[in-house]
Amino acid sequence: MNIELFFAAGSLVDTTRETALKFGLNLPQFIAQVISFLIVAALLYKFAYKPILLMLDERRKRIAESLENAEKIKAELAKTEAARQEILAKANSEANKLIEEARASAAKLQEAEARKAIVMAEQIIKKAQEAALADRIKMMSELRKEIGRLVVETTAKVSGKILTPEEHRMLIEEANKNLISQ
Amino acid sequence: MLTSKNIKRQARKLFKLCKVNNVLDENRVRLAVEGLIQRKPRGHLQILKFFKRLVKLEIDKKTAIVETAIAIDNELKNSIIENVMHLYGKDLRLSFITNSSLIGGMKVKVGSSVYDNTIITRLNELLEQF
Repeated sequence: MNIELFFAAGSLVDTTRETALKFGLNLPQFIAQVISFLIVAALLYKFAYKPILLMLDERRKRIAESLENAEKIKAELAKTEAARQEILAKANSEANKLIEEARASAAKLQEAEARKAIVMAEQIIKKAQEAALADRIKMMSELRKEIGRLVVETTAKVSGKILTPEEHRMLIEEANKNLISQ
Repeated sequence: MLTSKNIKRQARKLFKLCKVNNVLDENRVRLAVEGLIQRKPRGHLQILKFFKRLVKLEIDKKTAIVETAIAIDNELKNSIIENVMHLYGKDLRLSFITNSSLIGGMKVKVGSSVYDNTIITRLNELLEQF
């Protein structure tokens, strides 16, 4: 097996050598070119590729940071929006509550005022009725007195003239009888 | 200075002394007044004043005034005198007055007691009812 590998390797070296000869490969030149390439590559790596990588890395970091910030801002915004909505809802609720309270108070006040007005009106009516009744009673009393006075006056005048001496005597006798029986 | 109570007491005492058989005697009254005026005891003016009042009340009590609207005959007068004396006592002094404003009926006044059975009073009562 190892012998086979040895022979295979020997043929590969030969093939490589033939190919190099075909392509005109000059080993020292090739080595010098490789060294110069390595030097250039090292220089490029140090002075160009590394700063660019650093810059890119920095930019990537900045972008990531920016994205993170954006996410944070977005979250903050969402949070703020939620808080705003909550405050708004609370304010709306408070405002509705206040309006309801104000309406209830107004209704209560209106009812109380209406009741007060009704009571006052009733009192005024009652007073007016009482005054009218008192006036009527007073008027009736005055009228009765006046009628009575006229009746008595007329009766006194007429009876004084109408009574005969016999009737006078009868009245005195009756009074005399009543005097004893009192 | 005599108190009002003492003055009244003394006047009443004097007044009692002026009565004979529970009837006021004019002579005694006269003598009492004259004696007071002559002797002039302390507070005699106030005593006389109260004594006068007591005498007046007694006289009023024993005086009957009968008022009628027209003059009445003796027969009716006697009947009234009899009734009044029956009610207020025999020692009454009666006087009859005619007062046409009574319209009709009779009014008897003895002291502070008044019996009124006149038409004018009835009409006035009626007027009061109105």
